[in-house]
Amino acid sequence: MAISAEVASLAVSVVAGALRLGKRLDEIQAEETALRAAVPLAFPEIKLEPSDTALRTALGKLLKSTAAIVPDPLGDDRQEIERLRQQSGVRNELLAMCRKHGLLETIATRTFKPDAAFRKALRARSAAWELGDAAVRDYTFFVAAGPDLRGNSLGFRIGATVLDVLAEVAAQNTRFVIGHEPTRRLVETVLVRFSEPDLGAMSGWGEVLRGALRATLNTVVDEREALAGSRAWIERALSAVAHARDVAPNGDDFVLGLFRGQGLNSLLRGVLLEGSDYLSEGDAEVWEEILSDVLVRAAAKAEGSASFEDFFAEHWHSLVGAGLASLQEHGPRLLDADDEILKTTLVAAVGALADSFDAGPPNGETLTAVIEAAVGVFADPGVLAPAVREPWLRELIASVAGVVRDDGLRASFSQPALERYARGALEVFSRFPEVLAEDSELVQEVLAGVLGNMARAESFGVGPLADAAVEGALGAIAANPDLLKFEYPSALGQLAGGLAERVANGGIAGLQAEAIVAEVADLLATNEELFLAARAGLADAVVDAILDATADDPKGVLAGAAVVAAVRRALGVVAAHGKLLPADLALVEARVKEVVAAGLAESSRMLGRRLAQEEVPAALADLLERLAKGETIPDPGTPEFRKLFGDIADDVTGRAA
Amino acid sequence: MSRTTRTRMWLAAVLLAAASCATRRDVEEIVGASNGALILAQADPGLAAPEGADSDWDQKVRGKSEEALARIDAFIAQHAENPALQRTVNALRLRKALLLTFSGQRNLARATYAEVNKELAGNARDVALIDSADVLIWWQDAAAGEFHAADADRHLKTLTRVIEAAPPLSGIRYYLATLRAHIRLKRASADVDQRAGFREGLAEYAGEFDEGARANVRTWVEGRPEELRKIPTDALRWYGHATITRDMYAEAYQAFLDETRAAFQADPENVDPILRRALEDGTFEREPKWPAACAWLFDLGGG
Repeated sequence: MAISAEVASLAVSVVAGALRLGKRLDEIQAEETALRAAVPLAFPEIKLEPSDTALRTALGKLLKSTAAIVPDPLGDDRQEIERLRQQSGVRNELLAMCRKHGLLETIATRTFKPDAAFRKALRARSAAWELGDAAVRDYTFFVAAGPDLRGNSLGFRIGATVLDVLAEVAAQNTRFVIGHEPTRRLVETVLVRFSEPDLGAMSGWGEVLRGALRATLNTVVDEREALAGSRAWIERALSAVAHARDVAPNGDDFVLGLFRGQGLNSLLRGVLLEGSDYLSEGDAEVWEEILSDVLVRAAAKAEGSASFEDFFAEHWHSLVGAGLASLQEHGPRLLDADDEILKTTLVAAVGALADSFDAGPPNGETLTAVIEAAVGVFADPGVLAPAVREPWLRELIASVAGVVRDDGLRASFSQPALERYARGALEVFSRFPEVLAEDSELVQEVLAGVLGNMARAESFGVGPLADAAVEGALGAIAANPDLLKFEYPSALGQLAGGLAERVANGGIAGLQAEAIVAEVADLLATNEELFLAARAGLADAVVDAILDATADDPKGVLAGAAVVAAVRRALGVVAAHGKLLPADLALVEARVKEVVAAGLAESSRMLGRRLAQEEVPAALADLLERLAKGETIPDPGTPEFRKLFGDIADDVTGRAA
Repeated sequence: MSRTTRTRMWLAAVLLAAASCATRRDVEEIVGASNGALILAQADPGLAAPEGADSDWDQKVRGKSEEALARIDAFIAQHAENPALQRTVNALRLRKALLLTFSGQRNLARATYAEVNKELAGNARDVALIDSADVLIWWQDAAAGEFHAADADRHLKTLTRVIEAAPPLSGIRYYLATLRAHIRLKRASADVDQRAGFREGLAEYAGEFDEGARANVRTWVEGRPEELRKIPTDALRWYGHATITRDMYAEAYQAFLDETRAAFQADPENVDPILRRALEDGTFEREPKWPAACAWLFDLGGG
């Protein structure tokens, strides 16, 4: 009966497989024989050294036996031997002397034959095992191979080899077992890929399984069209991965690494299915390019850092998710405006994160927060106005990531709050890329400057106050980037921290504190030369003095917004005349507090007669102006002081009228 | 099943069988030949030249060695480039190095060891043998020949490192620990006062046996067949050597005491001044005590 060409082909591949299998099995068994066979290792006969005493005794005998012979056959050696016999630790000299006079051969030394002794003992017991002479000989010498260090058993190696050959034969003959064309193609591709490496050379089943997974995943990538069907998004995603694999230096491993963590599930079931609901097919094409580019860049980055490789394998889907979330929110605008933005931002984020890994890997939340914040910011057409330039953007993202990752700040502020600050910082600094070019850790400096000082307040009320401080700081810096030169964030943060403590202690209300922070932020920004350079700390001293005096005021003349107004007016006075005040800040604070306390005491007497409550801040400011100008202020409580403050009150009332 | 199909299956089976044993058979033959040559090369004359052996016995021994070496070389030349056989080739190179070591070709042995790749050594024994190559080569000459204390100290240090890295209670560890005990015995015999060296050498050796191994040594000494049969045959050697090594130490120790006393009595200047003082003040005469670590060996009795 004639056989078909296909059957003949099957027969040939089966025979070829059998030959290959046979050869590999033979090689495995040969290795097993070579490595597991016992080796005869004997113990040589041992001849002990002549003892020190034996050497001395032999030389002593030599001396005696030659004593009467004339001329003396030992010559000068007699004296030397006598000297040596009186000394300790001269074995080498004794040996040399014995050798010289032929005595070594006369000294009996003990000899042992360990193997012969064992063989004799074994023969005596050989009946127990019914050992013949050959076995006795073998057991006298052989040393077993001991623990196998190859990392995989004989069973594994044979099993892997059989699997290897079967995969190859099956790959060549899938048409015999699978009729459905697309399925057959998939199975065939998996098997071909699976049979590419030498499974027998792998170190264990775990590695074989990883090989199988790699083969399967790569098949999914290769056969994405057959798998994806109408789900354009899955197809696009797989295309992106396929492209990344093709250009990555170690393509197949890269794909496996990518899918090793949670990525595969997130990609296929979560993010992309969600993406397919809200993004059009046209978007998918853009997304494919973006994702592909991000993955390629990430692969290159991962090569240089083992820890980043692990991190990326675990969290790369967070990056994708964050990008998609931003697309969801800003999609049309983002994609219509310039799809390069999203790609640039994501790539920059990957680079920044990889480069900053020395400071410890961020977690998935951080990644998501940073990317969302970054992409969200750049979705604003106003921000997009100047074309994004990658270097500073990378610095910006790294800097923001540093803030969000900071353990100290995380302990004091909630994650959403930090993300909010980061977003604010991004918004501000994206308008000043040239500033970032000069100082790459700027965002971290600003936020850490403000928040770091506040975190020390350890107050429940610190959150809203921090919002105000950050907002004030960023607003001020947005208006005047030069402020960064004056440690403005730190100064503002220090004041806000002090206020937070007062809020925590019940000294002032949260709203008052926030309003004061806003006032101070503005004042510092507009009088930076005075408050941040010439008289740093002056604003703090004045604010503290006023708040202390207010808190100590038994009548509570100032309350609510009046306190804020008093601070604002006082700071206005100090801004105008601050340089006239003494250099000693403690003295200034004490004097201001004294004067304000006295003014408050007088005010309480005048309220409703010569002064309205809302006029008190102005009266106090007038009093402080006199103090700043160096005018003599009478002692509080004296008739002279009362007269002075009465005149001020009349003046304020008159001005008001 | 049709006749044609059966024929094809038989053909495949025959091909598989033919392809599946050629290399293994070669290796088996090499292992057998080299084992025989190794035994002959190392064996003491009583075994190597059996009664009635002809006068060409030494020539025959050399011939066996050369034949085994030639087989190994031929296999290596044929398969050195085959990645699937690199461990096999490496293991045979080590056999060649051992054969050269024990057949007195020390320089060739060193050159061959240098070609052995430790990374490819697939078992604990081969790793230890590679690491202790210099010691093995040195001891072949030093055991019964010229011996320098400084060389011994250096090799003992190497050997101890190799032993500590070897799996506890494994054959190779017992082999090397026994070898070390032999080297220490000879090293102690070169000391003025040999007692400390004997005590330390035997205690170190005794420490290699755990509770289970000590019980097996006891079984070995008692010699009851039904109990002996429970001992794995490939471990017999190490239990047997326990009491043999003990007896070697005990004999050398006693000989040292006897010789020293006798020499001193004959002429005090026959002994080193330090020992002389110990003999004069009576401290030398105290009963020798073995350290606690090797007391179990002496409790066993018999040999």
